[in-house]
Amino acid sequence: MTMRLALALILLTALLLAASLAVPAQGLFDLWADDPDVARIILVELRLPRSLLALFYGLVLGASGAAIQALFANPLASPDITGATGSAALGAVLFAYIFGLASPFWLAVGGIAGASVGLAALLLLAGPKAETATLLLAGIAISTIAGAATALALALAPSPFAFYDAYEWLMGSLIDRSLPQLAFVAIPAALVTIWLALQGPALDRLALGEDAAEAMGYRIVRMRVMIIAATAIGVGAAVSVCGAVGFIGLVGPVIARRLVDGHPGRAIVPAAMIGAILLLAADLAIRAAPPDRTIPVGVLTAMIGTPFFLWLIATMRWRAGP
Amino acid sequence: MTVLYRAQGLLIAGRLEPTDLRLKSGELAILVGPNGAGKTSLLRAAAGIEGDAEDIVLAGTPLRKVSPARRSRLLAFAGASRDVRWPLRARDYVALGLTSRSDHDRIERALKRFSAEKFGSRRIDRLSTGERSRVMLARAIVAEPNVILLDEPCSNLDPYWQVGVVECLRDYVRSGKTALISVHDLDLALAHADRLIVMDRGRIVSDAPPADAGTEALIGDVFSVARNASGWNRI
Repeated sequence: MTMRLALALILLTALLLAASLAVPAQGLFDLWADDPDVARIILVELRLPRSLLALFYGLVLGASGAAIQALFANPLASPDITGATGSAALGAVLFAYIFGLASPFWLAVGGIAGASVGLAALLLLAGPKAETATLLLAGIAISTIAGAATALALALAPSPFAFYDAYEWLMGSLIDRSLPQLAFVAIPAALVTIWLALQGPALDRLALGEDAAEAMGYRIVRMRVMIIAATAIGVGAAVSVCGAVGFIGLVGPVIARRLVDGHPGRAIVPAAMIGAILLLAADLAIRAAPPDRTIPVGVLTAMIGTPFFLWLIATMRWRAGP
Repeated sequence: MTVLYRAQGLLIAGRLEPTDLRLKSGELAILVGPNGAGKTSLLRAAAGIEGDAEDIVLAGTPLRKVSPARRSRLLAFAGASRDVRWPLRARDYVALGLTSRSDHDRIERALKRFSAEKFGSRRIDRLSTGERSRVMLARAIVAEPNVILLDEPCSNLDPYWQVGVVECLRDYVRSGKTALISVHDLDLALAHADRLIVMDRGRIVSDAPPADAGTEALIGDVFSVARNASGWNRI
């Protein structure tokens, strides 16, 4: 990544973060004049967690997406398409409604456990060098099972409000999360993103093929397990707080690779930043909705992301065609 | 001639019997053998990719203890596959063979060795298989390692480049390096090898200069072929 590109991405992230804190600005300014204490509470306890959640969740989705794509040597892999986010949601729901462990800590444990199981299942089903079709089918199977099991868990839950509660949570929302909940997203996300960024050189060498990378001294089998574990921790913890936010982990890395001459490993840092930029932007966009409606941010990212996903499949088909 | 590579007890269960291997500087060793004889297994085991080895020593250091940064200058391996996973530019692909950040001179030198500099800026997935092979060989050689292990470097190449690659590698080892490569063309192997290693059923059955008496008869035995006026024929 060139210095100019890094600066541009940092600047854009900072700008969106500032906008995310400030918008809508007018009411906040008026309130500040009337009652600075209330204004500060709104800023620190409502807007700051929301903005930072978008930042860290976006970072970890972008970085994990890039790492998973590099690992499976496939530009269509991402935490949501591989079923990792769906299984993380299942894990968190099981802990919350079936085991009755609903503290942020246990929800994060559930999310991480779920994502780990989902990714391990993917590796078993599709293998490490998955053909696109195999990878997508395995991901669909895992997502479908996770989705059905989540619905089943909610239906069997002792609480009659489980479905209603879980709806807003699982659809991917950043609103009304507390500062401790923010910590459960931000700390794993930051650590995982940094660790994945350090794997960049090894993941670039993996582009030479596993044997060549192994002969260069990179321990590929160990690296695969560690990257899957790291992704499961980062994404699992984030899903346990904010629910599933789709397509950021797919789109971010694809854009990022275009900025670094296609290098899968070198794309991790820009992918993380583009992930943060996309999620901050999506969260800003849903504030344009009528004030009495809240649209979960996950719905917006899916609506924008799906056409992009289809476009990606189409271009891959055309390229592979005769 | 100094020993650049020494391995004892290279072993892959079911495919490679315990094998010792030494490679000396200035030497091009060519590996021949029928399909399934264990050529790829030997090369992979020698590179430390698969199997057990009691001991692999590179320039006096056990392979396991060599960090990726140092290893790239000691040993390189390239497999027979010509698949590419990411649409990188040829020049960027070659650069991945270096662990230090882009050393422009080395990259150009490696590309030039295989006359690949003219398509250095093209995407590797858009090259022909033969052109891609040469870029992959340039990647293997770019860090100028002491030992290169190549599985079928001449496959997919036209006759000019089959000979061209072997001559490049001879040239390369003369500067105090060593190479072990597998080849299917027996005439090419006999003409260019300093050492001809013949494998059969997971074992090395002969390891001698190709001019040695009995080499051709042995090859005939192992491959079930014989040479007559029209070349190699099945017997």
